Amino acid sequence: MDYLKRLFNVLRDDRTLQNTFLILAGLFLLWFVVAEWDGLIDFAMFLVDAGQSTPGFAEGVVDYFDDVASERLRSSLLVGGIFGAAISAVFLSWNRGWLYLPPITTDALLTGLLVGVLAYYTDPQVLTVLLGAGMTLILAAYFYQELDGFVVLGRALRGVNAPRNSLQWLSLIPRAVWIGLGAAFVLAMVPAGFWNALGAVVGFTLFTALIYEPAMRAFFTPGTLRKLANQRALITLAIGAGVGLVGGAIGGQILMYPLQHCTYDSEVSQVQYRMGLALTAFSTLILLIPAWTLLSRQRRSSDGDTIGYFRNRVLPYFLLLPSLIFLLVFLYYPAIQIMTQSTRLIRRNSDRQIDYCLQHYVDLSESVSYQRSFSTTIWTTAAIVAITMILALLIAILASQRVRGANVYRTLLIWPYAISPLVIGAIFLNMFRQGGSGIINWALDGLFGIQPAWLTDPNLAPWVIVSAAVWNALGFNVLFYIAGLQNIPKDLLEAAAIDGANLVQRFFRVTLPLLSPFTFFLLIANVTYSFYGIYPVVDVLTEGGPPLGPAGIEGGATNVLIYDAYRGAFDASARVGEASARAVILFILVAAITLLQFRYVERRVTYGG
Amino acid sequence: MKRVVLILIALMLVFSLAPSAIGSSEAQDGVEITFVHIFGDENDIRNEIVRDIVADFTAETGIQVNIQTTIADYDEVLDRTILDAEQGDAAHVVQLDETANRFAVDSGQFVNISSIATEEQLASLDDILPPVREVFTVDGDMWSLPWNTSNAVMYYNRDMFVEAGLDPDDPPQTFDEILEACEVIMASDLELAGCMNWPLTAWFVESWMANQGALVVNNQNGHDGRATEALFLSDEMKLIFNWWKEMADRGYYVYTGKTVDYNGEAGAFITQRFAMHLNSTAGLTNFQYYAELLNWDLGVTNFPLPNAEATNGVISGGASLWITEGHSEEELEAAREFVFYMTSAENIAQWHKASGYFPNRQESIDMLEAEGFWEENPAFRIALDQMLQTTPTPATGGVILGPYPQVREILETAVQSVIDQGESVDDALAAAKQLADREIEDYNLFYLD
Repeated sequence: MDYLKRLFNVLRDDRTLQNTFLILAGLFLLWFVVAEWDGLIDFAMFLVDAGQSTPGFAEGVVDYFDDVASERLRSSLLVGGIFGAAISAVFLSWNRGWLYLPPITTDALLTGLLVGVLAYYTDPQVLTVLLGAGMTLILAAYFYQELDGFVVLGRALRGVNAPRNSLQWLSLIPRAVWIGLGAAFVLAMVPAGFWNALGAVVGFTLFTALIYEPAMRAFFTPGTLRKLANQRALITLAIGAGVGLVGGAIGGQILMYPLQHCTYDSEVSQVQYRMGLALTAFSTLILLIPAWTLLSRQRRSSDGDTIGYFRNRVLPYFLLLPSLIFLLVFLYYPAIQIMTQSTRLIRRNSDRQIDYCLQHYVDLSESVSYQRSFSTTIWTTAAIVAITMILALLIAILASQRVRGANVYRTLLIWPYAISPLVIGAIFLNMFRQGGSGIINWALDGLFGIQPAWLTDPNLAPWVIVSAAVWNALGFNVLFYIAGLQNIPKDLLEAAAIDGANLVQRFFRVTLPLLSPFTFFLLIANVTYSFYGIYPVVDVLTEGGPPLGPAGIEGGATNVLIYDAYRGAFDASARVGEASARAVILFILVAAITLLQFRYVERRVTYGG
Repeated sequence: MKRVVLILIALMLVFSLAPSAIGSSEAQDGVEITFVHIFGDENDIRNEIVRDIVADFTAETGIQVNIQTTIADYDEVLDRTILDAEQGDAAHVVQLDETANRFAVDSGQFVNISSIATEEQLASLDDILPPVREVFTVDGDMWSLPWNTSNAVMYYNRDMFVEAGLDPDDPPQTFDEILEACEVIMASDLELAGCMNWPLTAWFVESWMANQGALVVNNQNGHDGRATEALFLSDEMKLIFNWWKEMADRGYYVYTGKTVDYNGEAGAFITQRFAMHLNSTAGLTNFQYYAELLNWDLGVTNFPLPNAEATNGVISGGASLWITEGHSEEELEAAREFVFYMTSAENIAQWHKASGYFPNRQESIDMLEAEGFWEENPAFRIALDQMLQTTPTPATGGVILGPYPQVREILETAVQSVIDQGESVDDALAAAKQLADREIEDYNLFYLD
């Protein structure tokens, strides 16, 4: 009896456990909505049809919607409206402080990424075992603690209030369990595969962010709940939902209209239909975000700082005009054109064009070779960025020493950056060729009697690309780090030295943090370079090979996304539509990564002052 | 000081712009056309010969020809020409290889030369060797004029043959003989990277298919209507792949790791890392030059045959001259005169002597014969003999296929996956067929009326 009472206490007091159940329930609901979407739409349609018998205004509306040609439009409006209403209500509640949304911490992001990797590489059976073990462990830990067990262990297992000096590592265990849980959830709910793994990353990042956020507990206090239920809150929610309904229905058409609402056709596949839902949701945001800003704007105080504001309201736009025109003509217009092209089957020099809706994206997401390109791009980018920056910093430190002819060394070090990637590819090709004509293999053969297959071994070839890219980008990085090192105030280093910091400590505690603005800039520049800039190197060295699978049917070991996109885009008979779809995916990927960097890395940057 | 530098920079900019301005004002009188060819390397002897022939043409006709050279490959020339044509300023005459034939016609950016030629000029086309004419005929017409035509031959190092104990006057002629010769060469004391190398290109695969009288795509290699299917699963194709695999597995065949790497492979052969080498006859002059420079004895012989019965003949590779659409009547006429001049019997004969591209006109052959050129240079005769012994059939008439460059790339990847990644020949060919069929089907969907 006593035990049962304690168990009840645990359930009553432990917010983390409660939150877990709540979130699981929420996720189930979400899954239900997604899986049963067709049924829900049918139900909504039924409600609309029911209105058909009422005369007057309703009849006119229904007549309009009843037009067979606008059937897709009807679905599109409905989806946009429902999504808009829901998201607006959530946003406004959050904005007024009635709903707590946890910030996505680096911890959560890393956990999410780990889950994704696991979901991609592990087979379902192994994960089921992991999940079972994890669940047993965490439950055992709870009961061990509450039933007068080893209290420290139990607390450490939950990752709370663990003594700082001992057993802190144990707090990693619940995290591991969450990883297992998340992966199992993904595998149980959706068929395994690359894109589901990608979804798992996003989903589980949010999931973990919620679990680990201590402030989450605040939301479930009676005070908050009471606040939520008061009248003003309900009115705001109603307004938000109303604005969202209209705004969402209209905003959803911004992207769906160019597509002629094709994803809402009854013929399209389930995958395309879901992509269409996501696109509608995104499209509603284009209109809703400005709307929210208007709704929740704080009036600027009249005695506030007026420096940096234009008194004239028209003048700033007028001054912006020249650059806006250039952006419109050379950036936005081509970008929009590429997006429209990606929904058609187009080949250069052919008059035939076939509407393809989002099928290009579906085809790409299902192509094994494209998935390979995706993962190759991610890991080579990580390798290029990491190696370049570490090497560049080391070289910059050496080059900043006071030695004779330092300026000469510095100039020489920067040179590789001045060489075009195409030439770098040619230089590396002459070095790494096999079959008796490469310099490296000539030297290695003479010295050790080995001749590695640099260009034809799928495990080696990507590293040749990585090293060529690193060599290319190194000069640029060294340049910035040298400038950064020269900017570090000597008195800070001296002060640290007087305080007894040794060389290593001075480097990690003073130099490195002060370099962080440079590091951050270089990080973004290098990531962009690795995604977009290595096309010529790949083209000259490996042309995307060595092939994977018979006749390269599973792609190539160095077939990075940008090369994949280029290769099919500029032939005389290029598949323009498909190449456009690849370009759009690449753009979204780089944009997302850059956003993440600004969100999570820039926080750690100190600009001094 | 700063100002002086700025003024200097400004002056340099002005002068760098000047020549183009002068150049355009000069050409006010007379017609001016542009010609693009790929022998752009300044050290390439062929570059000079073209300049001489073009100068003669201008002297004779008064038509100004701007030569634009590039070191890009044929595929890139095609891509660039099409891009320029879309903008309305393509060069008048461009050099494209045989893989472009079908697509150049389908693209609608080129003029059918047969349709604008004079009676006399049309009649002169009958002089072209039948197998060559077959390769450059699309839909029954010669849309372009074959200029630098070549086929593949085998080069070998006579010194190495002697050192290994082989007879340099009796080089191997078939796949099996090559395997036997390689066994002897690799067992000798020669320090080699491998026994034999050649650029990993589908062109050789096509040649070996032609030797056996086998087709690469259906509908008679695309000569009898559009090709709709790749014929990669034939025994003839498997024979080629199996031999290539065996050569690689035994370490006899080694390549640079890059496909279609003509320069890399030739470099390794010239520097005596291999005893035998397959390449186009077009490089004959260059090979002779380097062998003499590095002091070794070059041998040239027939392209090896898959087996002794495969005597159907070879495919003529190489390139032809095309005239692009969208020019004035005057310019079109000038371009027509120019392409017929470049491919006239005398110029083709001169071209052969300078490069090694075989003479593709009977009249040129007669001229060279009378001159006694081949008695002094027997190596130059091999490619021509291979051509003269060829039976003109669809198999030796080349492949007429829209997505030809893409299908070649697929075949090359298939070879790579077999010799480097250990895929089985059957799997690789089945996968290659699947990929090629998809390319062909997609092409036909878009470019067929």
